[in-house]
Amino acid sequence: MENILEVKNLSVSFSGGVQAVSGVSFSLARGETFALVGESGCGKSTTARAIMRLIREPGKITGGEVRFCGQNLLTLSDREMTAVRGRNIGMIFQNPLDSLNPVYTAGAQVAEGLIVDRMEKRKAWKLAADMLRNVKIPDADKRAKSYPYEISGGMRQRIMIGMMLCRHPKLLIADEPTTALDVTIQAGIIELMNELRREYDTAVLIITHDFGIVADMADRVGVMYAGELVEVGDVFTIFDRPLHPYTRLLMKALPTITKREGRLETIPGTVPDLSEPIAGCRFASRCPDADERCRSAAPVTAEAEPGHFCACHRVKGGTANE
Amino acid sequence: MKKKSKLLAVLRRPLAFIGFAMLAAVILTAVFAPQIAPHDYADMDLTMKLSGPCADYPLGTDQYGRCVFSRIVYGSRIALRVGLIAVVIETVIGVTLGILAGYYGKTLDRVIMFLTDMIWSIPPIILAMAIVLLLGPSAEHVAVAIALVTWAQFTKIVRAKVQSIKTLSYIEAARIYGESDLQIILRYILPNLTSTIVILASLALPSAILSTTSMGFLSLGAQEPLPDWGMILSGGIQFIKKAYWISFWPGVAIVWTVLGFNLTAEGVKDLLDPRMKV
Repeated sequence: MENILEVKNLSVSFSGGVQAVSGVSFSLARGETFALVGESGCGKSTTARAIMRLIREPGKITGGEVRFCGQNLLTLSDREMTAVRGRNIGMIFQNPLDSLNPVYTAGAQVAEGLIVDRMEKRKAWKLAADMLRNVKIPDADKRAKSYPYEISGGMRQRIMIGMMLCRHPKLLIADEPTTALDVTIQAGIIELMNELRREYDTAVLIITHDFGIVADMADRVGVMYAGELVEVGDVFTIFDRPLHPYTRLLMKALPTITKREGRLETIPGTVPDLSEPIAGCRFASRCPDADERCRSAAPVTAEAEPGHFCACHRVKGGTANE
Repeated sequence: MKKKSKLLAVLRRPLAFIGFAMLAAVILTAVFAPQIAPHDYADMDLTMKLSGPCADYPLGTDQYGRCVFSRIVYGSRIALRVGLIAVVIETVIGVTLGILAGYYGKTLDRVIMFLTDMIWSIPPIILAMAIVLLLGPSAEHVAVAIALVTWAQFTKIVRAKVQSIKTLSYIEAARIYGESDLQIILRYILPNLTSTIVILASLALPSAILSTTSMGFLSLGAQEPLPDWGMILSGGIQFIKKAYWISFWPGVAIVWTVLGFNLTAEGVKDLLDPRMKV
């Protein structure tokens, strides 16, 4: 399969030397859904924003490549990048409540992107209303004339999805699209995204900390910890045979309805301070299996089985010269 | 329908209503000055100088026998015009610099903030006097001078507001949409600043009028025989024992106008506040 997005060794740091993302590499094929999971502050969103080149000061992309359809986005001029955004890569955000401009109607905002693409106004409006129907907005023609404050959060997120999809981008980045919504609305949004990505053959990079969403949407999963991608694999493989101790603990921390007694499992400790250089494995301080080697040398990412990558000393190939 | 009912709710408040009525009276006076005033503002009748209120001269006459009432009526045009020009200029300067500083940040922000702090550190009326003396006394120059000393408050508030709007995701969404900086400023930031700007401008107007009359008081504004309220007031001071009305009524006009504007501005503020319950 042809890869539409290839991220190689992407690094982002913030002033004060905080390495928010270090050496992240992954790829996305056409029409594929890749989920980046990890706890808060592990660099998932920063990775997504780096792909869009939307890192805000004082952050900076310090290295690596982001190849989109073969083109390195990081070397494009600002003007060229502006042309890629929206038309080729769309993005939806965590907080649907302020993703829409409060002073324009929903329809106008969906049409806006098409008008930016130099479509005739009336045609853009018609397409926008069609798109609102497509994202299952009830009474779409009337809603197109509503202002964001008259529309609920879940519906705003649908409009946002419609806004981004009406230009048929090849890639849609969804940064925790359902975190701010309640569970029933979440299910609706996920279903909608699944439907639309099949219909438009859009590749989706979804950022989440919710394994339920991963199971519902993703083809492949990347697990991030402290700015590094520690494990990448097929969604079934990750759920069946997680290799990295962090992934295994994450899976154990999922609440289940079948487990009757006991409290929620947690991973003891906290994410290490990323402003200081870390000698060994970044997870060593919290890892139950850590030994001397883990504290002194950083593991390398290796293919443990076909298509399943992991960065851990305890996993086959985790230490370079073994 | 929502906006209308809100407007009514605001007007039903006694203070806002009184303010609005006072302001309407001033504006109508300015518009229909020739119809309202019994005499021309420059007409002298030396036989009637310093005479008290009578049927022909409702508020008496000044030292040249000019009708004080007519002069005050015509003076409303000067006060409103100078105040309005000043506010328009200061809004344009202040908002533009505020948006630039807030949106682009970095060096531009530092330069603009330095300018703003500098303007703020000088007593406004003294700076305005210096500017008028430099340009020569006239009503228009007073407007320019007032604008040049007061834009800084717009800049500070607009800048802060832009800084907070800029981080919202719809601005990011606009960027993802491929909108240029100029488009983002004109279509996303400026429309969201409207209520802030309207409130600031409606609060700036009465203080601009007050500054105008202060400059007039110091004879730096419109020149004789033009009827500047501040100038009429200061001209009457030497006759205050014999003819208190020369100074008293322009003072009332000033207080009336400024109060009307302030009360209305409060009402406008409530009207534009989305959190206000109807």
